[in-house]
Amino acid sequence: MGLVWLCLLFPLAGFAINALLGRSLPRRAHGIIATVAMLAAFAVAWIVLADLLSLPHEEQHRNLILYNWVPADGFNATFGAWLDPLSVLLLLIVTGVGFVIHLFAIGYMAEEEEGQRRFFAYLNLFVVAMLVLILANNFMLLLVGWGGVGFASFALISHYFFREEAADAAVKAFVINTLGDVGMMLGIFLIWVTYGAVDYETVFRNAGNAQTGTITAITLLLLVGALAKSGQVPLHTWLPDAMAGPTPVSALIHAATMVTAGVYLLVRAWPLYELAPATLTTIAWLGAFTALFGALIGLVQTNIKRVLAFSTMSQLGYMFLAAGVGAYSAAIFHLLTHAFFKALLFLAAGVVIHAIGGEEDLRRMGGLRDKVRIAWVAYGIGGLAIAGIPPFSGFFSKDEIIYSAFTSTRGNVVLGLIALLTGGITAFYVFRSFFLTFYRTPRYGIGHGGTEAEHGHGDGLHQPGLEMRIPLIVLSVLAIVGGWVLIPDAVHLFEDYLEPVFAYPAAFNAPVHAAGGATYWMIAIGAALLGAVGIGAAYYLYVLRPALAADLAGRFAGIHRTLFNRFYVDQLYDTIFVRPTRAFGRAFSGVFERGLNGLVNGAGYLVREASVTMREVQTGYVRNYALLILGGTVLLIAYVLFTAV
Amino acid sequence: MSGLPILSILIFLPIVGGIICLFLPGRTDDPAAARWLGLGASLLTLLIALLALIGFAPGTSGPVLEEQAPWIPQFGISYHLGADGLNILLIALTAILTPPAIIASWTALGGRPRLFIGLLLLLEGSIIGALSSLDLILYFVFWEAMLIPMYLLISTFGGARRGYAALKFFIYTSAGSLLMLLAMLYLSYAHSSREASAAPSFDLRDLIGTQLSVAEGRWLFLAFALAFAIKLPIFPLHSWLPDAYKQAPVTVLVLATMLVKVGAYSFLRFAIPLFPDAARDLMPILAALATVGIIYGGLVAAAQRDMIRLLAYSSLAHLGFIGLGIFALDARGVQGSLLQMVNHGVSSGALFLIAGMIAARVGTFDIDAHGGLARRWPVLTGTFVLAAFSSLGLPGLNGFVGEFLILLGAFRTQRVLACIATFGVLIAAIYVLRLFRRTMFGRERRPEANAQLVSGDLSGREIAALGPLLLLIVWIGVYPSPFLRRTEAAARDTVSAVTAPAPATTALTVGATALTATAESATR
Repeated sequence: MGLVWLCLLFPLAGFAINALLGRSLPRRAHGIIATVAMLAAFAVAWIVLADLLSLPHEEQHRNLILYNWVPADGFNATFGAWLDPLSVLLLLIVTGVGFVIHLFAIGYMAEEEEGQRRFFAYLNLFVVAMLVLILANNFMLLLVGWGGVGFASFALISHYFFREEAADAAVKAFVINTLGDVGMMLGIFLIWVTYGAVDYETVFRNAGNAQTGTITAITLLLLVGALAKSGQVPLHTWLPDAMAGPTPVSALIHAATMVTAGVYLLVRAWPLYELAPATLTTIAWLGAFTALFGALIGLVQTNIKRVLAFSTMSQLGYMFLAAGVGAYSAAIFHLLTHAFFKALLFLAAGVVIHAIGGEEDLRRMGGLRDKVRIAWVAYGIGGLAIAGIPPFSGFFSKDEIIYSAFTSTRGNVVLGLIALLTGGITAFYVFRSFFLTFYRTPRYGIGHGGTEAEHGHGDGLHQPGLEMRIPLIVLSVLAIVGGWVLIPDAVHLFEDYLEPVFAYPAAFNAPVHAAGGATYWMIAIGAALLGAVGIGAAYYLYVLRPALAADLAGRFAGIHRTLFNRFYVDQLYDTIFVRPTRAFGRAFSGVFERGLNGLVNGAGYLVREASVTMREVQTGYVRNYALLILGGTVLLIAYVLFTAV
Repeated sequence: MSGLPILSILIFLPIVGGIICLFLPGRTDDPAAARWLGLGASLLTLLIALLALIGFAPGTSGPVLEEQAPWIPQFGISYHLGADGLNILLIALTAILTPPAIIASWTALGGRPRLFIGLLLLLEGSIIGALSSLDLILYFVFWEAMLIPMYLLISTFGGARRGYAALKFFIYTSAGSLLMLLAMLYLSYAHSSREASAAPSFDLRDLIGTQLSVAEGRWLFLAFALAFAIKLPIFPLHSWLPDAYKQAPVTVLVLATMLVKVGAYSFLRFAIPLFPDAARDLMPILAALATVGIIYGGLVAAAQRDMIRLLAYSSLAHLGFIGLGIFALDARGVQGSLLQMVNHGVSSGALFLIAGMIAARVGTFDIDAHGGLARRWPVLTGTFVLAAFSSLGLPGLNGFVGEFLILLGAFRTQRVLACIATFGVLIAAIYVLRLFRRTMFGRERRPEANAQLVSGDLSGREIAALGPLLLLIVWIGVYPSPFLRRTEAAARDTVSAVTAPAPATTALTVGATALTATAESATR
């Protein structure tokens, strides 16, 4: 089990080598170092899994302490790992999906003139931070991972820092995530005041020894952090802007690291959330709302990465919904399949963007099916998975959630219907982007000029190399079969695996959750049909009758504009938060500071005017002042000494 | 090593070195001798300070390395020094920050190297003196002595308005000290007249526990607190700080950050133990003011265009955190504050140095003047990233540990204030990233001017100045326990001596809550 530290150490070493020694290495080496580090971590993760599974079920939770990190009077936080099936599963996802994304990035970034070393160093650091987050054995250490991914995302979103929008997006992502951190910090303070500790073991074991109101406050405060990190309403505005980073970064943020952290936290802290029904209800509704909200915005976006960004927001909404209705394992199941198909979608989009020279606008794509065939296949598989078409992975995981939303004691029909409906919309907008990218006539400008001819392809498009093809193939397979680990009424591998997570602490009843039976299959088939309808509608509108799509957009221009502008939430926040804060700063700085200064100077002025002698001295040299001060001090002390008693 | 007067050596090695430096033979503008003398003296001081820090066993409660000798016995004034968990880190930090200040000043000595370096060494010695004094008068002498080299550094080597800023700094901070001196005399008099067998004394240990009426205690506490609050500074007594920082030579600021921390430390050393009842009653008000300082300083920092002014106001916010941790009267908070004093010296010190390095290259402190500088100097950018995120309290780096403990402690005793103060973390992210983004990111706003910038990336000398600070930023973030273990006992003792009867719940808490509400509405 102690080997788990190697999972941290390898990417950390990769970061250190690239950051500190990388300057003397050839350009090509940076990516290879980073990728090998990830592969090593991934390999070790399997050993950790084997170790964990060799233990009996009831012992599959280990608290490995490396050293005493913050020992203070009456407070202690260790640097340690909490190993159970949940954290080890995430360990595998992060290192595994992280590895293929790193591999892909070698090819994707190969032609970058500068910044490769920085890019791969931060990519490794991103994974390190995420691993600290999922392995942490206490809330304070969790915050280190939490802030660390925030920093790494800042560094990577701003990779093209000389572009204003990239710099702004990076700052925005970090600031909103810091707002989440503030909530987390307050939640952790309240945990410490309530339970006298911040380590998971103590807190979860004593979870019930607190009033419901307190637990509700704790869970809501932690939720603020989760909302920010996972891009959920109302703290979602950073997520679409974060597309300013290179595409592999987007894949990493959306699939393996960062956004899944919020879901992980909710499930990690389930013993607390179980005791706070009001918080769970909040989570379920926010999740359902975000799922629908993101999907609606995704309908009209014209940037392929933005479409995928909003789909991430929406899919994470599903996971929040699942956690909110108490279906924790369903949330993690969807996290797993989503990691596969979302990474696949982003990397396939990356191949397309790479092929046509950095273009990301759907209106300037089209007709790429035969030009970059592997991207066409991969994006199609990812699309079918996210649309919930059987037997692709998303079908199983999403239907678990829809079923839970309908049938769980915490769910209800409205939540279920939102989840069901959103599935249809998802299928539509993802396939809208698919058809716009790969079908009909080409609308991109590249391939006609001569500058790209040197790459040796007849059509002038950059074809992906092997290091980009292998990730697509691996992820395609996983996006298909990844859901087969849990098939209601047939395969229970996933539930059985996670079972120990919800059996600890033993004082609790594990949230009972077993999908299956006629209701489940009815819902599942209904959802799949709805997905098929969505795909069909997209085909009709964007392949068969493209004029109709434009016509519809024109007819409902108001709605279209509202959706395109993401319901004007950014503008709203700018008006009610950003501007007033800035105005306060300026007012304080201009008016108040000047006033204070005037007061002080005024007092000094009065004193000075009162004494003519003083004015004479004011004109003197520094030496005079010094002598005056020194002499004054000495005289003062002497005076005091000889008159005191 | 145990027999040596370690603290005296730490005080007088730099002071004697500084005096020698002032009177070095040879041409006044020849820097070599002054540089090497300064570097040698400061490195030797550092070595001894580190040995003292390592030798200070974790868990030690009472003072060690004590030295006591009669000085003016008829008044009970003695030369009494000692180190304990409250000051050991700060003494070491002063010694750690001086070599970077000297190295960074290497080529920026204003044409009078002997004076510049001599004053820096005098500043170091007097700060260490103030930090290790356990006699009130001795402390007061060092406290005032600290002002002189700082005043001269600003007024001789400062910017365009150096005379104004230096005088304001001097008068403002010494105005507060006068009342403190009177309070010291009153306290000593009260001690020798009221205790049955008491001899006249200014020794801190004798004066603790002096019988005082409630009113006396409060007035005396306020007299001390005013001096410390101006020095710290606590809102609204801060207006000397931006001017002094702006006009001071930028390389001096790395050490100047220690001056303000003497103010914070003195609350723990003198004001709280001497007047525990008054401290308990009045702390909520100070805690509220510190919280206002966090939010106010942050918002004002976010509106600055000048790098140094921005950092000066960010210091106000940081010192607000340090103050809150002390005034909350919780052992965790005090430990956090002690650590945060180190962090602030390290992080803000590094940021001041980096701002100076940028300004040396682009010729201005205006954050909007250039833009896109990251492309030009990657190593400089890397160090800036580390220092900036340390300053905004990124978890995993040093600032986080300090702020977390401060807020944790305050959350227990001053919950409303702690909740407000936590938002200071958000505001810090805003102003620090604004500073970083405007200077380093974005397109180059003046490409033609940038093209003329010939200076290269960080030189070996600049890396040597920053290196130790950056190392501490990471070290304290990852492994703070050697530092925390050394402050634990002292923090616990200091707090328990005050809070022993009952947690603070007096009528004044109501006043503080009202203040808090005002602060809250003001920040919205």
